[in-house]
Amino acid sequence: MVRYLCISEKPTAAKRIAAALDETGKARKIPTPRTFASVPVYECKNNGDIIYVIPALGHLYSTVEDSIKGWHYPTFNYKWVPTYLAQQKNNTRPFILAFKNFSEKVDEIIIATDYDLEGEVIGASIAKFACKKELNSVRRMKFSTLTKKEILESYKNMHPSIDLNLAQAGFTRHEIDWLYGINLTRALTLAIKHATGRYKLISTGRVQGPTLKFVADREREIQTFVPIPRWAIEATIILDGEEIALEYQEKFIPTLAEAEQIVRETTDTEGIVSKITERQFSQKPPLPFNLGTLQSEAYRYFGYSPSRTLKIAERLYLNALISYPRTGSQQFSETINHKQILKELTKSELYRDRAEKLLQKTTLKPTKGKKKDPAHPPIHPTGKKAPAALRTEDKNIYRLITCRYLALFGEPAVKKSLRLDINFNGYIFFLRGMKVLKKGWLELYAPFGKVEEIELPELKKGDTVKMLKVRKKQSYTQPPARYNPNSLLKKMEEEELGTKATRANIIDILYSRGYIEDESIYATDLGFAVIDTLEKNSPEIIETELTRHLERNMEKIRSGEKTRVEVLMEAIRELKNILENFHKKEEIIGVTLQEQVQNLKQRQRILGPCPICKQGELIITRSRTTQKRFVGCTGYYKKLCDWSAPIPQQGYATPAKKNCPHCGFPMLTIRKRGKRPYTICPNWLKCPGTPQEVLDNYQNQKAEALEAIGEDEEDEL
Amino acid sequence: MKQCVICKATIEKGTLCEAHAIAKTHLEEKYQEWKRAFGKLTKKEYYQKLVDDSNIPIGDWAREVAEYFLKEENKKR
Repeated sequence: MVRYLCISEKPTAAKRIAAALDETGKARKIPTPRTFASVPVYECKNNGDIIYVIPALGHLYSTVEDSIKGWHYPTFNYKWVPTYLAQQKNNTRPFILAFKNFSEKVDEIIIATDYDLEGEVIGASIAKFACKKELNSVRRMKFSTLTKKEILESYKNMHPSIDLNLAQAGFTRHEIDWLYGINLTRALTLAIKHATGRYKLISTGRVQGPTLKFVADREREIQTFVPIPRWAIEATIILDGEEIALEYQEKFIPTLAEAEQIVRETTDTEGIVSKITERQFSQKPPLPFNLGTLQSEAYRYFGYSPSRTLKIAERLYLNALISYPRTGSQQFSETINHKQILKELTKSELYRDRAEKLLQKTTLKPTKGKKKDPAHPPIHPTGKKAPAALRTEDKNIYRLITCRYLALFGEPAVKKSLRLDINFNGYIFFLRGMKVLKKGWLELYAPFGKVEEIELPELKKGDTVKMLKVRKKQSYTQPPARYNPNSLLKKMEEEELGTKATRANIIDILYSRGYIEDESIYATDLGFAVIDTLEKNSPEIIETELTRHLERNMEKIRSGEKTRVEVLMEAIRELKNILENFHKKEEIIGVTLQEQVQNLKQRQRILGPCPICKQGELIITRSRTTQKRFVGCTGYYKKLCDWSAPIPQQGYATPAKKNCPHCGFPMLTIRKRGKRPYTICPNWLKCPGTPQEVLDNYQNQKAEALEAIGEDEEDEL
Repeated sequence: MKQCVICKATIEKGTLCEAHAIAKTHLEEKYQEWKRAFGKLTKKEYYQKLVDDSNIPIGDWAREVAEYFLKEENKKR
């Protein structure tokens, strides 16, 4: 009899693994000492052996500075310690105690965490630090789904040792991230402190900096954008009593004179159908989902942010409904039994018809893309029936994954496009139609991938039609779109910044640091201040090349081309150079950064010109005596204007960059954590737009009353 | 210490901060295209359009520069 300790990544996964490994299917949760009573420890019996399955709680070990010098940089000394010591979070202590305790009672250790960089580090650090085992003596279970079948197979075929290269790459990534993060953050923060004596924590990191630069660069493009005017020609004809819109052959006309000429010369004319073009084309089934494409489609259909989609997918994985989601793969291996999965899907009413249809095929060959991931297949359903009690968001993502999986086996869709050209006095207008001739995979992917069919009127070459209306419509070239969480994630992927597992988290960090805001992402003034200063003085920190090079090195550790020490030493050398250069310019960086922060603070206070005195500017300021916030005119200092008004004391007030439609006063926006931002007029006490009942109800005329009537910012977007 | 005439940010040289200087360049570059589009357009009319018409998707920094130039044009008269 062999006794095993099986390290799982999370409590939910531990429960599932234990249930799968136990011969009876009901692993016993055993009583544990008071010191780790909160940790579920499962005892499973399998073929005469005993397996204790214990979960971690994500990372139980982390890096901290190993120095007594205090807050300084550069610092290259670190050590691995329990996270409850590194982050002062005590909830992981019982888990470490459980692993320590049971490691003494067993013969072998098995790591059964997720098979990826993070999973390997979680398992390896527990085996090394808590269980005091040599990593090459630790066994490894590798699986891509938490189904009983796959867990049992991975147990039977467990690897004699962990993937040492993967573990080394994981440890190195943590260490390099820590080294870059701590040194760069301290360098920036101390630059301000040394130059101005003020403390303002400014953080950055290896991936954070370049990602923030994408947003800042885009924002600069938008803010300095000057559009060019252009004109579109809008026309309608009438056929069988129905008005039909026509498109002009050129989408936009660059000059007003030309647009006017087209309108003049086609008004009230008769057109002849001059050409009918028909094109038939087929559209191949989509590629299998990897994390990036799943996040992209989830955003498209449900508006879920990438991090939200990842969380949902992880929940579905832990419930054994889908395969491991943190995968980049677009290719299934031959070992996956698609027939079995489809058979299982026939048990669900929603997918029965489609799955049965596919099962009739002689061969089941899913589409495949270029991206490979040797560790995990593309995201796919396991076939296990989804419980009815799933949350709506989980249901949505599960349905998307399942429909996509079914679509992979479909036939190409065949579509027909039609274009009907009509010549009005030498000017060509046209109608465009579209028809799906064969649904193919579209039927399997439904309700997703819906195509709108456009029917064309029955006209043949030589037929005449009368122009009903024709007019020119002025428009402008448009600035580039702001990133949203999804497009920013894609940009990071394109630029090879971060990994599939960390990208969504980096975006969340930028939000939480206050460097970026909103769904349509813009760089905040603080974000700009950091990027502006670094661009001028230490551009390498925010260049994509540096971090991309490190990512490649980590891949090399994984493939055995480089050792951990080589990569670590190289990273330290580069960091040392950056910090030395930074140190030389520390004073100027500190002063500039502080100035930027101050300038931006100043800019954030100015609402716009004062409509009363027309000389000063309305600014958000505070009373020296009461410290209360209000809006006043800068003309007050020159004794030109004494206009002032109270505003809400709570929330973050910034200029709304627009004027009140009722009284013309420049407005301000109030943002409160957890609430939608709203826009108010500072002249609310006298503004005709303020409802009387608000003034009546709030006899004390507290500015907080405005929250009730503030224009909802998001509704305006 | 010099300040940007528009946003009062501290600057080393010139009259505009870097952000407003870029916006100024864009404004000047696009003027020729606006003139071509409308056939005839003075600089003042150009700035006036950019400042007055809220439907024009001009960037905030570029609009601030247009406002400043418009004020300058008006002072000349």
